[in-house]
This record gives sequence, C-alpha cells and structure tokens, in this order.
Amino acid sequence: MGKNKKALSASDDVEDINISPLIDMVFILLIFFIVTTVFVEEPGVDVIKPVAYNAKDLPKNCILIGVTESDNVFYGGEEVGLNGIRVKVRRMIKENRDYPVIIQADVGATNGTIARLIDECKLAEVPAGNIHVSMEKLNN
Amino acid sequence: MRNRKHFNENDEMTDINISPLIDMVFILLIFFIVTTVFVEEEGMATNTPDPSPQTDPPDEDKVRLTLLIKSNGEVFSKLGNVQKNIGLGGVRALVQQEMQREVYPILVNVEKDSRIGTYVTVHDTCMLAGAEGITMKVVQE
Repeated sequence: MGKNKKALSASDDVEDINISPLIDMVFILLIFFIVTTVFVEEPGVDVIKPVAYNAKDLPKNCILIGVTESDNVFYGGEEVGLNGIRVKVRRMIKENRDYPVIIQADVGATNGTIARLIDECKLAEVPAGNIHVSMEKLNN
Repeated sequence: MRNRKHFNENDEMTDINISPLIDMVFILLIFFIVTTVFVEEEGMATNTPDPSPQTDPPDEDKVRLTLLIKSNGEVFSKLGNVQKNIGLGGVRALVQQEMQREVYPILVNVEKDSRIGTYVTVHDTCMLAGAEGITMKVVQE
C-alpha cells in the first residue's frame, strides 16, 4: 500500500508489484489449515507401537493416552497415572460423548496396565466400542 | 486491479486500505500452522469384559477355544479340556482349523505381566485366521 501511494504521488514509471495472487495463496493456505486443524492434546511420549495387519484408520478427533514401556500413563504432556486418568477422560467425554479414546501403548507395556486403563475409561463412561489401541499397520 | 482502475481514471474514489486485513490473515495463518498437529492413528478396538462387578462373565459355553498368554510370552491353547503350549507360531493354524467348522468368539486370557505387543500379535493372528469377537481378559497367575 505504501508502495502504491508513492507511485501515485511521484507519478514515475515504477511498476507496482501485483500482490493479489500472494494474498489469494495465503487465503487458501489459511483455509487449508483451518479445515485440517484438530485440537488434540498429545501425550508427549515416544512409544514403539505394536504392529498388526488388521489395523484400521482411527478418528482424528480423539482423546490420546500414552503408556510407556515402564507402564507410566501420560495424558496431555504430563504423567497422570492410572488413578488420575478417569477424571481427565470424564471431563472430555462430558463435552462430547462420541469422543473415542486411543491408547498409544508401547509394545513393552504390560497387559495388566492396559486392561486397568480400559476399565478406567469404561468407568468414565466411554462406550466400550470407542476404546482403541494404536498400532503400526503392516501391509501384506 | 482496483489500483490500476484508480490510476487510469484519476477520480476521487478512495482506496480501501487492505494491509491490516492481510496482516491479520498472516497472523491467523501462522497461528493455525503452529497449532496444527496431524494425528494419523491406526489401530484396533479392544474388547474387555465390563469392569462393573455385577455383570456376568462371558458365556463360557460359546467360547470353546481359550488362549492364554503367560507373562514370559508363552502362548497356551485350551480347547475343551486339552491344554497345550502352542507358542505364537501355532496360533494361526489352530484358529483357522477351528474357524473352518464354525465361527465363534475367542477368549484370550492374559497374565498381568505379559506384554501388549504379544497380545496384539495374537489378536491380529486370530483375525487373520478368520475369528470374530476376540476378548481380552486379565487372569491371575
């Protein structure tokens, strides 16, 4: 804009750079990011996921819970433990009953912990079919 | 385009200043770029018995084949009253043979200290062998 004004007053031969394609592109990028953004709190732990052939795509809008190899339970970047997870999940489920729970478990996590975690989710009133374990998909 | 028109006709029409708009759009764009997380998860739903104590245990009559994953990673099968150590490799053949006659749900008992990786492999193998309705249940050692 400053450029335009200068060109007007000085009346010289400086060619104006046409910025409308740039703005169009920025708008398109903006719309892309608005549409693809999901506000999901990541557990913030790196896990090695179990592998399976039958893994299916899971919904993007979800509650993510991380379980490390040493059976520590993480939610939203902090360790909450098995006892703290029910409150967190219940709060999310109150907002939207259809929120699925995805457990990002390390291959080395014990089944006892996972089963207790699933029980906690069920007690937080997550429908039984909405609790998933995250996996790495193998292609046969 | 607007600018050019304004240029040529030399009239008194004032240009709308769009630079604040563009600034705002840039700020929004940066906000969305920074906050975007691409969650791309794949996995399976897990079946476990209900935690509330008053519900009945799964129908033992319909479940003829039971698998047991021990804490050391060994896999046992229990078909009728026969218990055998089949290992991870033996699951597929056994389940396939059973499912050819009739498809029925499988109960996978897991010991508390067994690994989720082993269970997922067993679950996956059972599904590949054509089983439906696989339930995981934690048992005492």
